[in-house]
Amino acid sequence: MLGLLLYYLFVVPVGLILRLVRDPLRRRPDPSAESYWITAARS
Amino acid sequence: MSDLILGISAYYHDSAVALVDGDTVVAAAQEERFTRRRHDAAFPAQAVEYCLREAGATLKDVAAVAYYEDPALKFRRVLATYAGAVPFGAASFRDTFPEWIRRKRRAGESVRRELAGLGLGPVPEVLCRRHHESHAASAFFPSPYESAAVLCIDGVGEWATTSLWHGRGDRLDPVAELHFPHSLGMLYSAFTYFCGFKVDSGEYKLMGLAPYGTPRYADVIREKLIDLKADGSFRLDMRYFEYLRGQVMTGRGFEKLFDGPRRLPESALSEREFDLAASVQEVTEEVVLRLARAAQQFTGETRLCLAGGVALNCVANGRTIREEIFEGVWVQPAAGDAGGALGAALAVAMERGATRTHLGTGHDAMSGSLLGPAYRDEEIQAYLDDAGIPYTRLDRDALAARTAVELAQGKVVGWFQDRMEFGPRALGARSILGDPRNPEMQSAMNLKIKFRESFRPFAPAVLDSDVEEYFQLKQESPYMLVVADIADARRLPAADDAGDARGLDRLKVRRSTIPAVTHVDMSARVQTVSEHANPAFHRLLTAFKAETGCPVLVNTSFNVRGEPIVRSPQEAYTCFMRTRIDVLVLGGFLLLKDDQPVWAEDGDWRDEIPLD
Repeated sequence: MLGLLLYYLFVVPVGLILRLVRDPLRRRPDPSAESYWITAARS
Repeated sequence: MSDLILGISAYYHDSAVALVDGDTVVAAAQEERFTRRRHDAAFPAQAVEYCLREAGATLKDVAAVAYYEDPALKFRRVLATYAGAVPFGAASFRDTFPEWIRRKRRAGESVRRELAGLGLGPVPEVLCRRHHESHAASAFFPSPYESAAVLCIDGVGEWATTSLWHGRGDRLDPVAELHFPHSLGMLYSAFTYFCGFKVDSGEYKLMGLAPYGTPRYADVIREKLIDLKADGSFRLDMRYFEYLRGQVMTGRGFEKLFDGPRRLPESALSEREFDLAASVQEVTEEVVLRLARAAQQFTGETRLCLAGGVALNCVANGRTIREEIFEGVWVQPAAGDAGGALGAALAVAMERGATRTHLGTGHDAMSGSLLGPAYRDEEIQAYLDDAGIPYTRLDRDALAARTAVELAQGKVVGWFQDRMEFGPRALGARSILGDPRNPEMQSAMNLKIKFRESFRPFAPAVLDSDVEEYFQLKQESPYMLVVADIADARRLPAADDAGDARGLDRLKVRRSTIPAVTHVDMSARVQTVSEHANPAFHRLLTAFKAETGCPVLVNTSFNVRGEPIVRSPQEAYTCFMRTRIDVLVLGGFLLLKDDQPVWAEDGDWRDEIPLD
């Protein structure tokens, strides 16, 4: 129950606001992109 | 100061431990082999105890503990996933978030606490390496190559789902990566789930099913599910997947694309599942080939090292070798998350100044992946005598010769020798063996010994010197992670008449002189056996060749469906008595089923083993 409360009170609002700015997961393909590679940095 | 580094993977699936001394792998084992729970995700306490015992060490002798991923970074990815999926992830959040708060986000501390609880001495510092760094280190550092491109492909760790690295000498540099949720491993697992198999274990079944079908859905996958670029990078269209939202992989999106609801587990297989398997396998191979070419172009290297769960797709590995993008390909035998324990330990060891001392020997540093517990003949005899089990003791040559005769007579042999394998494959230390020339052997071993689905193929083990006589394979495959076609000389003309057979009926066609290990597409998952890596198994294959002229044996893992591979003589004997294995060889002892006392258990033992 506490988990669901936390989800709807915090995660949902934060998630919706985030997605107004940009999709944090980049869920859609981008046909115009030449490549999806991300340059890797040493950890 | 000690050079021992203890690597640990835990809390997700296939918990495992590896102990390295410099670049030497002292011991490595999966926890499932001790707890008897397949893919056990618990803290690998027994594997830790075993690895330290093997080295005659305690935690006081260990310089550092290496955990195989970065829990803080992974936690941030999980939070981003929850946020990105709103408002659809409530159930998943409720079910999984408490565990993240309680333990997983501070997995390093959990490891320290669990180790302290073992009472094996003071716990050294615990270092966390990234998931894909652990995979990459497990692929490159033990490989026989001075330098190589390194490609890691899996489901997901922190953010990376695919990563490219450049290994040179004692260095391993990151080059490029792809991030969650765009994951080739997840794509394959989605189809595994949709076809009614378990995620993270049923992927092998899907791969084995693929040759029964035609890839009629491959274009739909290319058009709707994945945007694959020329350089091998890709994104999935997440509108068709459910794994961001909850505990299932697919939903209505898949049902619309692929002709109805998912197959229910254990229900009958239909043409659709065969074709789905063939389709996702075809696309997976296409992606892997492009990734391999990208790895070659990014690094300019002529050799490739592979790890990550997708590197267990030995059909894709075989294609990569056949395309000759690289002069040599080496796959880490524990390519899944268990191998992350080894990679994390090696990454820390190399950072602390270890050097790759095996280079120049012509061999890799995995010791044939025989890195687990061994049992001396005195221990085995004590067990047999205590239990009143009848046996014959033979010297090694006589044992190989007698076993070869039994195999040639059509007997199925449980073969238990030396140190247990590390990784998912049985490589001739904990194996069930049979005569591959016998056309009944595949069906008999599946249904009467392994108690598993009839469609599943068996793998051949072949003397390394004879591999090209039987298979179209021009490099060694010591870890059974490469699929190759049967050599033309071993094919039978009747195989050409099989065009009308469909689905599982294709199983009935005899295609080669070694039908028990010839899959319906004339392929085989080959293990080459060298005297260097596995002398006992090499001796047996040599004896079988002397007896029959055939240097090949059926080699399948010593277990029944759903059970981890056996570890101890007791477990081997139990499996022997529960199944229709005819002969058991334990170290230097040969046991015949006909000589054994009656085996009785309360209830049906199969009820205790969950289906895989």
